[in-house]
Amino acid sequence: MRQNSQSRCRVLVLQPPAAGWQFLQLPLLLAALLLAMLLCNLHPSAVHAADAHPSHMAAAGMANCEINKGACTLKNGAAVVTLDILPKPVKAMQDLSFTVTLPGQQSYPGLKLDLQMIGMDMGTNQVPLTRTADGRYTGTGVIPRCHSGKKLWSATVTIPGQPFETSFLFNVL
Amino acid sequence: MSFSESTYALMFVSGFFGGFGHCLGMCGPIVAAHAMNAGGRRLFPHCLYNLGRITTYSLVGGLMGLTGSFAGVIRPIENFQNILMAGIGLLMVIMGLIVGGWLPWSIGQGGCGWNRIGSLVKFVTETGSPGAFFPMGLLLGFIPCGMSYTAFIAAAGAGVHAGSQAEGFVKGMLMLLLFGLGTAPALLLLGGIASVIGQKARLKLHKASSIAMILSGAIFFYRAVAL
Repeated sequence: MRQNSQSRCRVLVLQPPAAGWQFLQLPLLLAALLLAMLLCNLHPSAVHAADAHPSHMAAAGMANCEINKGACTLKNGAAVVTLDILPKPVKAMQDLSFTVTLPGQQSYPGLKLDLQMIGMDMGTNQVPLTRTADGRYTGTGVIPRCHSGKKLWSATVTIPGQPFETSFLFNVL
Repeated sequence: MSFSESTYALMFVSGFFGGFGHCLGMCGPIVAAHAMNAGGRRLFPHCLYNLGRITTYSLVGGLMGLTGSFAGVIRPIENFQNILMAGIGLLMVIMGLIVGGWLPWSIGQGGCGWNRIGSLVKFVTETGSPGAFFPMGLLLGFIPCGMSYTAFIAAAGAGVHAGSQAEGFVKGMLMLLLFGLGTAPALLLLGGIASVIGQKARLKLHKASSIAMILSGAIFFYRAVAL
């Protein structure tokens, strides 16, 4: 009885193949698949590092901040903004401490820090900031991982009452 | 408008626009794959699928609000999410190979080996009953998704500032319920269109849809394994 059941399985599983030419399509399909995967891993790098405008660098998939080496400072108009993220290396999917330092000792109520993946809409991810005794702004946030494989993120500091924003572009692990 | 009301509205709007911008690209292949095979009813299976997905989002959002921690909830289920994604990718590849006629087996004829997988594929794609699409939505709600992660982070943040754990749970659940509802129109629209195309041009696009399914499945599998 058991033998019969096993042989019935073989009969059902090993049906004769259909038209032979159909199986020639499979190697072609696998080749196309391999090509698609290779293309997925290519990154644009057409913009020179000297072109430091954040929007151009973002479009080229380039960072303007090596956050894993230390805090980053960017000058935007009259404002000099410094961003640091701990712990290092900065990894996705873990609690991160963000610190924003602005010039002077005055308060900046309504200061905003927005996180956004470059090249993929990930929704609104804002880090709530509170002012510390030494005049810096700190908050805890998380950078989510995206299965698109993209690693470049921007942290945009918006100072209320000022017409410009400061965007730090950095890679996460 | 109070803080909470504006937060809930923001979650819905974020889901709505993200649905068209993010979800169609990342989850569209899954919706299109089962739409091409759903047969008969066009929108009902998609409604059930979305209901299941939103239920999962709401429950996970509730947990985020309850604990006030994104990483604390996600880390224990991260491996499960990746295995799930790899499994779905593999299933899509097998489904595409069977439907395209590149495997010498037909769907759901026997009770052993590949035919069991074929039966599973048939159950998942062709049943069109609550027994298939609602649980599928529940399960696929766990697929790792950067945009839903962002919504979960917001829910966890609401939990931190909630007066009690119960309040955090309710807030987180409502936030993700609205986020999920916001994402539904895009996926329902895609599902509806894919169903119509699937029925009208099923024979003409047979091979093309099979190849698209195989490629999409392979990319899902690759992302789950490589990232």
